[in-house]
Amino acid sequence: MLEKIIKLKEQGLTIKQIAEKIESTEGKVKYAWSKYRKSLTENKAASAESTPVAKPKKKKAGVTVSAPKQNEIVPALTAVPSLERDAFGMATHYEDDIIHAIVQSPTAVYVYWELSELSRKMLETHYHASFDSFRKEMRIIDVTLRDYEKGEVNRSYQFELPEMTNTWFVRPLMPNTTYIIEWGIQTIDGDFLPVLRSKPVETPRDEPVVDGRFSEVVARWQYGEVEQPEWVEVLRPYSYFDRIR
Amino acid sequence: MRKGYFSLVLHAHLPYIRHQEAHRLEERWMYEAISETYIPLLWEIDRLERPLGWTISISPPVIEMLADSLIQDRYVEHLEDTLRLIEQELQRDLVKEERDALLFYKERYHDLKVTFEHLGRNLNHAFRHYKEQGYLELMTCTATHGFSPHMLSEQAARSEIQTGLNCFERHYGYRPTGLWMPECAYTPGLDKIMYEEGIRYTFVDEHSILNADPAPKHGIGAPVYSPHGVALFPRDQIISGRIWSSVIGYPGHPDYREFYRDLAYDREWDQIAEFMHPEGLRYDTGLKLHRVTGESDQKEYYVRDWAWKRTDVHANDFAEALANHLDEQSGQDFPPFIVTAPFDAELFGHWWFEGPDFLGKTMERFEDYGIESISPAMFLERHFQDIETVHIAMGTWGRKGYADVWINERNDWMIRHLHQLEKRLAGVVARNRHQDELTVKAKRQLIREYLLAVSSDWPFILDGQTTAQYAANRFREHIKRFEETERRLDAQELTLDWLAERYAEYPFLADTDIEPDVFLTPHDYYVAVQREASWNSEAVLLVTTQYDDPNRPVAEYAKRLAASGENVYVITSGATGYRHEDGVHVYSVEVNGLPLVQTYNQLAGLNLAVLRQAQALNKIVEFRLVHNFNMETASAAQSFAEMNGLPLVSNVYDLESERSPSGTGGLVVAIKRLEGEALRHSDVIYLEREEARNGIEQDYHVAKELRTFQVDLENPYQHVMNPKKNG
Repeated sequence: MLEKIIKLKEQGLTIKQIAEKIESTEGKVKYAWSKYRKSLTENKAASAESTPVAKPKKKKAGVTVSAPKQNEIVPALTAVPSLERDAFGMATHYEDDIIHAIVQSPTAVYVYWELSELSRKMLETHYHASFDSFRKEMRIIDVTLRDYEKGEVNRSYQFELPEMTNTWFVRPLMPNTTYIIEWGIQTIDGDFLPVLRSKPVETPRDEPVVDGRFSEVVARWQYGEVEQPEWVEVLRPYSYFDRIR
Repeated sequence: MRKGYFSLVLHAHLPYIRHQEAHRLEERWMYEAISETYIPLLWEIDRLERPLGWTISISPPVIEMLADSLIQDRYVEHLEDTLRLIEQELQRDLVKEERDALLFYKERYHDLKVTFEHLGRNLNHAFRHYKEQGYLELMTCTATHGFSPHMLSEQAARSEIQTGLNCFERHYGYRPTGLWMPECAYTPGLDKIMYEEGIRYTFVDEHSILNADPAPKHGIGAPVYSPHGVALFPRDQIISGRIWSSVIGYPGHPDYREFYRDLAYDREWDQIAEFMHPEGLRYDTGLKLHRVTGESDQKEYYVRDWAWKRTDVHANDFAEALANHLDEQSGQDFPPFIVTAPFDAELFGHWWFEGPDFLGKTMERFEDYGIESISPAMFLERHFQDIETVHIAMGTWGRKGYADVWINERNDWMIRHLHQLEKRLAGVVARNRHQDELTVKAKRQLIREYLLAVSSDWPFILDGQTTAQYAANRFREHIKRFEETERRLDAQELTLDWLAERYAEYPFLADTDIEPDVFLTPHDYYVAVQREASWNSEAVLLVTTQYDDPNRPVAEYAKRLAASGENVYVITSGATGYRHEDGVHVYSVEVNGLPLVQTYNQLAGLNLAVLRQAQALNKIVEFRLVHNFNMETASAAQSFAEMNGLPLVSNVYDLESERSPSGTGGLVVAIKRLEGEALRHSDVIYLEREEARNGIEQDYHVAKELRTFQVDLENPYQHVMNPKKNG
């Protein structure tokens, strides 16, 4: 199978096209291909002895590519998936599971999301139904001064999303409010199953405060009484290996 | 001297529009800015020869283009072309007023050329010189003017800030303590990054301060500190409005030059063809021979003397109004009242042609009125102790005061691509830790492409729909260039030559300006470098609902497996956490948030959580199989195995038919279906109890061999290693 994949890959076929051609799954092809690519990396370091199909890489004249030392390169198991492209050559979607909300105004946030093939597959397996048949919904949750991880909310509402949607301008919202936004499916028994959850986002104030909620938290922070500020800061570090310990 | 201060801040910025090929229309934006704004401002600074209290922010793209010899050479050509056009025009039969206007431009373009050559063609040197003379304060903005509040990660915002400062320092020899944030955009937390990068002040629009919490006692009459200690100076809209407003502002006076009437559109094509784009496009020559005149379309010729004298009147009017304003606020102490007036620099000269003259003359009138012009840096030096700390919400100086310009139905398609680049940059720097020249250069080129893509100019232009195609193309181009570079890096197809070619196409920022590890978190460094590398290969993933269930053999089995030399990972349900215990990596996942009502949906939530953990591990751990112990986690285990081309091993303790012998409801049916599917998809099935055998064979029609499970199985995965060979 690997030999076939390499041949087709060299002809410029995408993972998807190869999977169709050799009647396998995209996942399997992707896995075989990344494993092969990884073996190339290792062979290079260990000056190639096995893998008969491994073709020597062409090097441009005068430039040597230094062989990676062990431990310094982590092979890209899932780094650059092959993606569908639009007429401009831009990816139409990414193999990612993310929902992200950004502020447009005190009463509106913009939300976009991506759902991976794997997540779709899991939902289909669990509910024994095609992904298209699910009713997709968005849930808007006001979590101002609440700990959502403990299930605390001020209020929430949800609405159905049209098919083939991956963005939404959520409006109207309340200014000076912290929101979490979830994308999910409405199950047949009426539950909302959240599949993607955004980080908290805070709508700005649009008028002078009379009796605000920040005087005390600012003072606590200013006088070093708390380790972390007690308000939402959206620019948090993104860790690629998050959840790996 | 009057009590109170005035502070003028000018922000010079254009997107990076340098192209190797000639005749790109956008490059003319730079020529216009040099001719109409940058040099005329320098003329005024030179003429006044004294500390002005002005602060000028020059963005890294402008700095880099000013220093670029190709742009410099082309600018001189442009000046020469314009002078030739003026000569050609002067040969024509003209009315006196038109001739006079042309003669004014002839002198002006001559002066521009003399000045440009006198300054060694690099205006950075001139700005630096006047800064060193103490005439003005200089600062810069972020690397490409990206809209910070919409970035995904702290790293992206930091990279923009740090790279911008590095670029400025390379050209100007020092790091400024103030930074112009693009679009005066602020969001809570941005101040933390700024402070850490050495920035002590920036600017916001007045509503950001007026709506602060707690409400600042001086309103916009003083800066405030953000919670992380950056001073925020508010734009004073009333005072600024006198200058820029099209209704009440000065630039609309009938004597001033009309911006929208250019000679290029008043001539037959044949008369100007030589000076237009070779492909037959008409564009502004910069020779605008008319004055505003009035409301009508009928425009009179520009009379330089009138315009010049009008700036005297307006400068005096402005100084007088400001003096009154300061007097009205003279009751304010600790700190004294300050009017902050930040503008786009190009407003003066390019948009309002006489603007630089006005600014120069205003400074002279200030002396008459005893008004002190002060830089924010100096203000802070004097009054840093008298500033309140408040919470400032997200805000900008854009239309409606927030982000309507940068995220709307015309440009929202861009943001997801930018966020993907941020995530991938974090991955690239985490995965490629070796520091050889090629890899480091590749990482820098990737960041360069990201920075060029993240410029707020692209969504801004798409919002305005003026040169939308150029903006969209540039954006896509940098995204695709990023992807291509990344692909080559991963495939080890990169060469230094190829990277050098890429750089030559957009020679923006020196490599030393860009620090790749800004995108690296300490945690990612740990995982990529310090974490035991042997943990990453040939691993076994065990999935279970309860790792420590005393009735089940999972924990004991996992430990024995680890002891035999396997890499064992467990994902189980429990309070989110990790432990490395007897050689086994145990990850617990939980479902939180609003509770789900139905059991089967709760299971879906659990499976999603399991799946997320498996996906995360899969970034670095190469699994060779998935071993599932509970029907409750079957959907995650089965899909993960299938999508990754991995064998699935299932343990069966009991079946749903045993657990709910008389059950017929929807839940039982669903669970049975799930159980059957998972078993049919399993490559190997182990029975923990013989009693389950019948059910599997009869209810689920599984024809596979059902093996007996024991915790001390010798080589339990021998049947999955080479399933085909073993038949």
